[in-house]
Amino acid sequence: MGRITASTTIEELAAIVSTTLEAAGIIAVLSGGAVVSIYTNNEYESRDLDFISSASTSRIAAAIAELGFKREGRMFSHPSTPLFVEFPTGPLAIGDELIRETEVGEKRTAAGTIRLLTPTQCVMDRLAAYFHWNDRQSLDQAVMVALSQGVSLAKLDAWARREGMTEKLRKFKQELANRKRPK
Amino acid sequence: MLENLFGNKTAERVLLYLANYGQGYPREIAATFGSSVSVVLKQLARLETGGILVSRMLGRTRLYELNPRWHFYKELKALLEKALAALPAEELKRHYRARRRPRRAGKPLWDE
Repeated sequence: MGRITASTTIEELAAIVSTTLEAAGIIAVLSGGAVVSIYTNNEYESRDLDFISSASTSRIAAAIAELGFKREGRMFSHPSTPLFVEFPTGPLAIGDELIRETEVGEKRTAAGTIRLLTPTQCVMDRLAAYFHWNDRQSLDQAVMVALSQGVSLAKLDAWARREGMTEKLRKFKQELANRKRPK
Repeated sequence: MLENLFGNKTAERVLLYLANYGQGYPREIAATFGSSVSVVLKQLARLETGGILVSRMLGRTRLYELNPRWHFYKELKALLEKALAALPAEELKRHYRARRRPRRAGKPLWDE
């Protein structure tokens, strides 16, 4: 319980939760805004950690109770941190694309290893929100991740084609080029 | 028609409503079917928890829609559209054909 304090970063918390779950035999993949925070060194600051897991919520709750997390509906809160942990219903997918647990990335940190979306998957995840809801914030986050991590444009092209969103992907590429251009 | 699949009649109506109109808010959905708002809210919350619906605030109203990012969205949409097409004409007219196009403020309504 003492491992989590007010100064625990989102990356540290993700690693602590990930390793605790894995020790209990539960695989969970970090997705959503927390991955953006980790890949951009908090240029975008998320306060929610969304883990996708096929394990039942009661099993997850029992595993992370030892860290001091309390269940509040679907969310888990901790008395020492303002960060929330949530386990949205799976499966892990981006649009029509189902993502297997073996296809995601891993990030090794001092606090443990985090299983999380790869930078390209993270960009797809953000772009999916931009595609469906015209959410500019998600587009900006996709650009931030692509700039800080580098992504596979070929994979993004193929995915956007399958989703029927090539026009909107063009906008992302335009924004990316604008941000890359020296001012 | 699909109530056994979705668990209850209200869940079926909520899903058909959102598939038909694209979006909706609890009071409007409840009024359409003469249900209580609390019963509709309960189903909306359940479906949102499952990732099937998403919601956002528009002013002071929470608007719901089918979640286009849910992995089974296309299949669910196709099923709901098929169910809508199979509804009796009278029911379609009563619950699923409310006016949605714009109308200038102050202009009288003749046919609704």
